[in-house]
Amino acid sequence: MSSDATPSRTNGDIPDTPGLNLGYEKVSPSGKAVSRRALSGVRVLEFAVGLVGPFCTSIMAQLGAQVFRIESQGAMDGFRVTRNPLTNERLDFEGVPRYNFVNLSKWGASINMRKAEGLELVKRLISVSDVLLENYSAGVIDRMGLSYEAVREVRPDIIMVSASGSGRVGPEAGSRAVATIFGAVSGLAEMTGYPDDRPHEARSTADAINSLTIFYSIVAALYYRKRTGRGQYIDYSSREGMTCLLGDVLMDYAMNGREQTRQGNRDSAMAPHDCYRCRGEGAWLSIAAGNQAEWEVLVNVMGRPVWAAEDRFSTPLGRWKHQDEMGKLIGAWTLDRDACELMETLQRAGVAAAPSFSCAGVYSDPHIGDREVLEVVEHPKLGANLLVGCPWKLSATPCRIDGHGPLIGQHNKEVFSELLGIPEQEFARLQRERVVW
Amino acid sequence: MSGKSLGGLRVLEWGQMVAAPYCAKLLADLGAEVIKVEPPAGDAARRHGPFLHDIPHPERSGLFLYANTSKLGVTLDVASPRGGKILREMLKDADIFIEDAPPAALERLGLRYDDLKRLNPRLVQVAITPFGLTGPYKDYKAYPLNTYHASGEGFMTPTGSDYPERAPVKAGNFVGEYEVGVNAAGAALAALYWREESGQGQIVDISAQEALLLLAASDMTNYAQFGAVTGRSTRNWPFGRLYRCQDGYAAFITLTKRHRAALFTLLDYPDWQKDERLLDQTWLEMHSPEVEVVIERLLAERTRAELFSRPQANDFPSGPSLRPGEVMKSAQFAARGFFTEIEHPETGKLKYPSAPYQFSETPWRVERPAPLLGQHNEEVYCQRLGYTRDDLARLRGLHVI
Repeated sequence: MSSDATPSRTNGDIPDTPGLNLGYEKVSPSGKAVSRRALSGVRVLEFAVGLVGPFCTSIMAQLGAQVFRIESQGAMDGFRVTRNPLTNERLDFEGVPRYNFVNLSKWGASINMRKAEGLELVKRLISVSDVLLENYSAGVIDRMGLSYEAVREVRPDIIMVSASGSGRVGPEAGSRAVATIFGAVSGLAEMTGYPDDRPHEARSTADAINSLTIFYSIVAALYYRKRTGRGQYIDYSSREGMTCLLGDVLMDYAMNGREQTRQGNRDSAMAPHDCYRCRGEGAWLSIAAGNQAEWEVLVNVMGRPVWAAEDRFSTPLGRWKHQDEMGKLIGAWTLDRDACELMETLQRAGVAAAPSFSCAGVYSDPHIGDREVLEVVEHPKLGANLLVGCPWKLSATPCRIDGHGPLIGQHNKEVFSELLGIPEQEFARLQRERVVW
Repeated sequence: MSGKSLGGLRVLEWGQMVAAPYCAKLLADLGAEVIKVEPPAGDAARRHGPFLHDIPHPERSGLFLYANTSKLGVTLDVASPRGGKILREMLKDADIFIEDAPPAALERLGLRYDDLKRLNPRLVQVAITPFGLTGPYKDYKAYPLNTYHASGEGFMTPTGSDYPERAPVKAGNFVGEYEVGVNAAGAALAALYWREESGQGQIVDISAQEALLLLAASDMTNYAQFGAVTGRSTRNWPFGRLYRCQDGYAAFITLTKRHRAALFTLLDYPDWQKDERLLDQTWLEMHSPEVEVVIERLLAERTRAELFSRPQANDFPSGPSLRPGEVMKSAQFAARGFFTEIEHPETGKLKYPSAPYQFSETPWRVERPAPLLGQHNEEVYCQRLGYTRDDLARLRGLHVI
């Protein structure tokens, strides 16, 4: 789908840097030359499903790692099973937007790991990889014959990551839950939503933050290995990844026995500090005044309404105490104003304001456009779409999306024939016998 | 160096509140030496609760303690000429410089990457700002509320809301800011890895809006493809959410017939085996509001402890929504040793979250508690930079430190 925003980064050719040995990684999954990137030269083998694992390695790929994703027609990622949100029709399993997004920039090879020969192929790939990432339920990988000990025999300095919901030990290790559950048992749900309403699960953010936490863990391990030659095993727990986001909440309990809870948009000290309805459907503007000076500026922009001079609104504490009433009054002022225009007016005057952008708002935000966050990505079934690329701006080694999420076995030839050197007849047999499938 | 992933690495952090300090803390957790540079009046987080016993005190803020464990702490007025000079002395030997100054301030103080790379070509500078160093919003004012909403995540929160006409909300407390810190840590380490390959430093420009957008983006793919906007009423699952019990809430999600059977058994849903509709996903999705009313009626007298002691609770995705105290007492966290006791001179021994990763070679460990204000001025300025105690006294008198 096209957008009015200037399509920014495209999949253009960037010449390689001579003298820097990238080896096989000189080419992207889409066949184009790849510029030097921060993680160029790192090879990752991944057979995770869902969001946490796959999104992590997609970010690694956008930072320059060569990521091989193993997936079999006999064990397809559940993300491939979904419906068109508008028509409710089942989508083609090779044409799922979210699957595409969390698997951008990867090479796809199909191996049936239920077959002994399939496991052998995986081991051969492990032997030429730096990182292995899996997110089966705790213990499953061991039963498959790919425990860390087994993997280390094939590649002694491997960095292997097992990402699960709860980790590999403990009474709840091995539970086959989903992100919603981990959001609940991490404590995050209790802190999300309105004070007079139930706790709410986060959306994909709950999974995605774990992807990024695993990302930095892996890169730290890679750095350590570069200096010492030693790999290691990383046992990761998603629920703990989310609990880490509640540090100050837990400190309040540790220090004072207090159980904080969700507060909507409220702040512990600042008011106004909320979203206010603006003109148009579902349009909201976030406004926060952090001190008396900012409040005075806001009052000026509002045209010094009579209510703003009331005693109860004249101090920060008063404004905090009466924020519900104050919010209605501010909301009456914002209601027939355009959110983006009001942001500009308030920002010019020195008040913190920004719309609560929907996806449409983000996609058409001129600042996001200027920052070149969105990239056009072509996909054989989905067409060309503007997607969010990794936005970290590294000045010397910029990130880039190198290709769409792979079709199952899309790069079998490159992986098995070119990389592993398997002769054609053998490759044909493996396909016939559904080892490569 | 052995036993620490980032052993030997020198990080300088000049940041306040959460995003930049937390990024630095994550690197300290991985074994880097982190020196935190605070204004003489201290990081603003020291004036933000929660406070021990609810008494505001710059050495007793739980927010500061959590976001700054394992760091050395010095004071410095970076904007003063002498302070700027001292900062540059420290930057000469630093590997990573994490800061959250607005772009205009970086320019005014001569701390842009173009300035610093001449001083230290191997330096990795991590610049964390609300909207980035470039673009039409780069000088905009923003609190965490604003960047959370500008990212697109706020609009979709809370997920599966029964009240889509109510305001979109940010995640609680500083969740969004910790998330920005996680983004920045990843980017910093990627740049560090490149430096090991190439010898070359660089600047990493992290926009809070974009960092949070990256996390929200997988919920925007249906917009990109179909033009379908994800709103607050859009549920994650066709059937399943958090339900109210007698003593709190519990999450139940069912994806298969077996899951559904386990759920209805757990609920002691009367005669469910005789009602084929209840095992039919399509019927359930179409009638979820009515079924959910029945579910909550059945849960009204059930406690979470009783529910999750039943074997059926293990047969489908389910779990209690835990409050902070329950999180800290959870058996699963205890088995993993997730909460760690740290002793601090002003707040004594308290339990802190550790880290969600367990490394086999370089396990997480605490170096030291969060620093007292200016605690390591002498160690850093005298022992490392060669200033004398008299110099420090003079600098203190001039409010440079």
